[in-house]
Amino acid sequence: MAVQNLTPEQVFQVDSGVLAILSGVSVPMETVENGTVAVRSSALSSPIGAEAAFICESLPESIQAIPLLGIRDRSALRSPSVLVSPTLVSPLPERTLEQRFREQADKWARETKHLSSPTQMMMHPSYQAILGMALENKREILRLLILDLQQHRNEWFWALSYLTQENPIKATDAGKMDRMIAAWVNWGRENHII
Amino acid sequence: MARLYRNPKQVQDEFIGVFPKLANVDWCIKSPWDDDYQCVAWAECRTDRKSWPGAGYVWPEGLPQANPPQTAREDHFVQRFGLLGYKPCGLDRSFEIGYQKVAIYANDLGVTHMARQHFLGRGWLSKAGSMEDILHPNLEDIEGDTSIFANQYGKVTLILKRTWWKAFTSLSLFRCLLAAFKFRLHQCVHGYAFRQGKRLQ
Repeated sequence: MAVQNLTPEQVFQVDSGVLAILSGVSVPMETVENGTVAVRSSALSSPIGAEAAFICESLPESIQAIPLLGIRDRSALRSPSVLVSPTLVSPLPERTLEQRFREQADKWARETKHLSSPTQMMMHPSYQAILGMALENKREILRLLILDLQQHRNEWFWALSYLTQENPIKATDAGKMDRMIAAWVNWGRENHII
Repeated sequence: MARLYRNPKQVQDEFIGVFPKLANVDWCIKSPWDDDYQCVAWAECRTDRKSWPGAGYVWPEGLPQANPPQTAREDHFVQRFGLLGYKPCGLDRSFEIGYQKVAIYANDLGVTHMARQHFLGRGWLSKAGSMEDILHPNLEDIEGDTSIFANQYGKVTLILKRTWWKAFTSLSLFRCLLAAFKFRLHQCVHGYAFRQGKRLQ
């Protein structure tokens, strides 16, 4: 079973990102870092967000911890799959969607710039976190993705296609960054996203 | 912004941060930062596109593709590089006069990276994603964890080779030399150079 160390920061920031990487990609995963976080995939075969089974079972005040993890629908709780230590349960400062996007996008760009495999890049928790943010405001995330693509040349092509179910890139332009970026920027303008 | 001649110290720190084994070997930068191509394209001796078996990348028609969440497998690359005259040769990474070799790296999920042997056997050329192309002496220098969450290249799983004649007739050699010449020219004009252990700037 693959092992990854999640930091408290990741757990708090990704909201549905943790759900996304586990349920969206359906990757078996178990995480243990000094007993702080344990994620088990057994209960996470459902689509992103909707029925993800998360519960904080090691804490008496576990229910209070749930909103902090981005779980809004308590009826979705089914079986234990996440254990959260008291050190992880602290209020998050209010941040805008754009701030959270920027934070995750920068982190993703920083940690995947040496990678070539698109699958490996998409597996990064920050990529999944951004896909999860689209559940809150898809149009805003599309706008931020296209602007980031334009300004920083971060490769959000697959995320954009996934969220819009469209692909404005001509077959002859595939693999050519400038043309691919231009295609999505034009698409964003035509659809009044940017 | 496709090309960027970054501070060599910054490049050194970033590479060693990602590939710690580079701290102990003699390696050097061979290109600017460039997001117009990546490792597979550079293994094909191309600097004008990105190659990968999936949507949004260049891949020959008729060959199988792997769009996410499917992962690219070794056989995708064996078939693609077969069209360029390469044939699998196990894990034989030695330099053989008359042959050019490329190496495939993979982790638990699938293929992650490719490196091309220097034409004269001086090491292996790796274009690390959007980052610089480097020349490192051994394939092991950039190997790492095979876990799918490790953000590393994993291990070398297969090496392919072709004859110099094939490299010559496919114009690959010319493209590689042209790219190297452009970078060398920039180095001469701007004094931009870095070699691990032998700081030139």
